[in-house]
Amino acid sequence: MRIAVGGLNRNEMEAAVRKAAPDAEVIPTNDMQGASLLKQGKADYYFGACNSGGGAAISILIGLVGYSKCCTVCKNGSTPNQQEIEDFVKQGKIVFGMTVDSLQKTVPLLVDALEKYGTAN
Amino acid sequence: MGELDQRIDVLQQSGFVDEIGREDLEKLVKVLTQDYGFPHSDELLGVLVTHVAAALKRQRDGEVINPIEGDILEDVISSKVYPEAREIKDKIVASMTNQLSRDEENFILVHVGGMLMNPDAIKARKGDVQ
Repeated sequence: MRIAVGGLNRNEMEAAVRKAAPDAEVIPTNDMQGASLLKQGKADYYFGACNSGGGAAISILIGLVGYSKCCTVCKNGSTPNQQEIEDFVKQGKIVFGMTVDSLQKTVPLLVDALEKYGTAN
Repeated sequence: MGELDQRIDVLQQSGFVDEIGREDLEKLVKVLTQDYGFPHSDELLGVLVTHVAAALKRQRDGEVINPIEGDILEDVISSKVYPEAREIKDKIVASMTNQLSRDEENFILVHVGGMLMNPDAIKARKGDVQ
């Protein structure tokens, strides 16, 4: 599983992904490059964080990869929901936005869902 | 064409902003680069541009954003960069044709605060890095 990570607090995101998915290849990047990596098949997923979870984190990916592949797994003012995250993964989403505040809780749930239901398996 | 221009192109082509929204993004960039010395290459500037584009789309779609978490806002308000962050935020908002809600303005304030606290941007604004 190859996961590109970008957005705000990228180092924290990278560390959280490495902790949750020790066997995954983690690729620190930004949203523009992350979109290219997905389109070139050099990454399977993109995780991005911002303060709102759905704005700066994934807007460029929505433009470059397509809305149908993108989702916000945790918006500001809410908490990550395992069932909702699994549903997104089952729908074939590959770009995941979340709030900076929630990433420590969201990343393990998302990695777990991707390991169970992800398209890269 | 630089990455920031490409970013704005993508945001317009994918419908996040219309022509007036694009001009607002360009005015935002002008405030931060020409008036306050942030480099065009500042990655957080790209993040802010993208955030504001998403905010304009939310506004157009009638989507109301949850207010930013109080402790995050308080971190910026209680920081030493707050006076300049507020000044820059006010200047950005005043430069734009589109009006944003107070909650959206608070997100901009937090973004700008983050930019002012970013060590790379501090060096660049001092002229240490191009």
